[in-house]
Formats: sequence, structure tokens, C-alpha cells
Amino acid sequence: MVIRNKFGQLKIQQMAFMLIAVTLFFVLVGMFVLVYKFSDIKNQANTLREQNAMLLATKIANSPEFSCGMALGSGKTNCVDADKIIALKNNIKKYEDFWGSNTNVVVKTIYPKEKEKECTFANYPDCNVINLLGKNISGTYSNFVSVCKKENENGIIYDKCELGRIIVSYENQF
Amino acid sequence: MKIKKSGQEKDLWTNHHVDFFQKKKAQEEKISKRNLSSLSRKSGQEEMVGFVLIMILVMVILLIVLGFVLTGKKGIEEKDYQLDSFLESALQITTNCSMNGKILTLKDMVPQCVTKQKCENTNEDICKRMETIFRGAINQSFNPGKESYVKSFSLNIYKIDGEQKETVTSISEGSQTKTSRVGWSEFIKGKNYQIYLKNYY
Repeated sequence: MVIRNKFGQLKIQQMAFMLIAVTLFFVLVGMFVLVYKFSDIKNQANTLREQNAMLLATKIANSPEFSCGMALGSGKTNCVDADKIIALKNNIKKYEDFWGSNTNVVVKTIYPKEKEKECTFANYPDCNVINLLGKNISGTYSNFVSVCKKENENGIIYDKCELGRIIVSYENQF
Repeated sequence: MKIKKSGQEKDLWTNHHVDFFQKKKAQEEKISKRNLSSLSRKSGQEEMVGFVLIMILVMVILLIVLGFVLTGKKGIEEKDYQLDSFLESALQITTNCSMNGKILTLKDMVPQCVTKQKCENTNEDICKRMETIFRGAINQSFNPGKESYVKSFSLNIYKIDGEQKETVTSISEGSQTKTSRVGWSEFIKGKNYQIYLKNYY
């Protein structure tokens, strides 16, 4: 009689243990799946952040102070006018408050590769790095651009474009 | 010689046999009860063992399926905006090659390469010059190498003629890995041209 009374309790205990074990198992599987899914979201977030940084640099390159415009042929994308930038560098004091004190733009020619030489109004165009504010940059956003200028060869004026990089550092977003 | 048993002897014999059989029956009942109770004690343990075996079997199957899913997965290829910008900028590079008195850009060289032309001023094969410039630009920009972040690259230029896709040139360096980023650009110079650059990491 006593054994029969406890038989039901034993069955209930068994069922309870089984339910706990199954629940724990599915919780572990669910956690594993979530970790796997969230790691992919982190990668996507990093990719978007990189893309945004590059878009900001491109925005500067396409602003009227830097972009090529009709003078160097219309329809050129990702193009900066080196002649315009060096003229801007000469008048940069007028633009000090325009972009903020912690902003700087550097346009560097990558290919064809030459020894790095910073541009001034005196040595231009025999140089390949135009540092607009003359400051060192940190916390940068950069992207590839085509650095174009007017060249004179044997009396023939033509558009010369080289592969370059525009590097922007600033505190506040445009 | 027949031995006649008395009535008393008969009773004693019968009683002895009855006692024997009764004792045997009682013993057998005792054994079966003992077996039953030990069985009922062990049935819970058997069920638990069975449950654990099922759990282990399910986990092993899950691990095998997971292994197939992860190893069978193709390498990751992502679109890279920076590579798009690189291609658009590189195509505007002014070369030292001229044709019909006009200095060619890298973009201008592509249709000339299809028709296997040579530079008028240097007499150099336009396709070779174009490949040299592309290689130089990619190496300066990404510095691909075994110990570099970018392990290798491949560049392909195609001419699209209706539904036909013809390879104009194909440049690659280094051994390809499973993870890559791709950028592309399209332009029209008489015909449609597509250029793909893939960096392997």
C-alpha cells in the first residue's frame, strides 16, 4: 500500500526532471544560435561604420572648394582639383571658422609613387602632399580620389590626373 | 513382496509431501516478490539512463549537422565602397600613352586594348601598359602580400555585348583566400565595360 502511494510521486518526480533537462537543453541551443547571429550583426555594424566614414570623406571631396567641376571635364566623380586646393591653402585663414578648429584636410598622391613632399605655393606642382591647415591629423576618415590639375607639356595644356587619397579629420560632422 | 503401509504411515508420508510442496511454493513466491520489488526499484534508474542516452544521441546529431553547415559554408564576400571609389579614381589616371594626338586615361585604354592597339608615342602594347598601371596602383594603394592585411587581389575587365561577356584582361597576384571584398565599376566607351576588383583577406 505504501509502495503504491509513492509510485505516483516517483513518476511525477521523473517527469519534472525530464522537463527541466529538456528546457535547459533548448535554452543552451537558443543561446548558441543567438551568439552566432549577433556576431554577424557586429560585423555588419562595423562595415556600415567604415562606409559612413568613407562617405564623409567623399562629401568633402565633392564640395565646391575641392571638386573638379567643368574646368577639368564634367562627369568626373571622386575628383579633386589640386590647383583649387593649393589656392585655398593660401587663403585658409579666411576659412578657419568655416570647418572648425579641429578640422584638417590632407590630399595625398599615391600613384605614381614619389617621395613625399609637402606642397607650398612656392614648390607647387613639384610636390604630392597638400596639407590644408598644416596640422598633424588624428582620428581620420579617408577615401580614394582622383587628384587632377592642369599641366603644360611642350606648350600643350592638358588635364593630368593621378590616384590619390583625401584624408579628413574633424570634431563635428558636416 | 508387497509391504502394506498402515494408515498412520500413509498419513505421515502424505503430510511430509504436502509440507514439502507448500514450502517450495512459499519459497518461489518469496523469490518472485523479491525480484519484482528490485525490478520496480531499478525501473526509475533505467528510465533515467534511457533519457540520458537520447540526449547524448541528439547532441551528437546536432554537432554533426553543425559541422556540415559550418564547413560547407562558402567564403564570405562583401561589397566594399572603398574599392568602388578606388576603381572610379584609378580609371581617371592620366597615362603617358597617346593615341591620335590625345593623351589617354586608363579608361580610354580599355577599348584600345580590346583592338590590341599600341601607344603612338612609345610603341608599347596598350594592354601591357594598362596592366602595369593597374598593378602599380593596386600595390601602392593596398600593399598586398602574405604578411599584409590584404593577402592578394584579382582584377577583371569585361566587355558586355548584348548578352555576351568577353574578358578584356585579367590580373591577379597572390593566392586567394575564402574571405574577400569586391568593388566594381561600369562605364560606356562605345560598348559597355565592367571592371571588378576583388581583394582577399
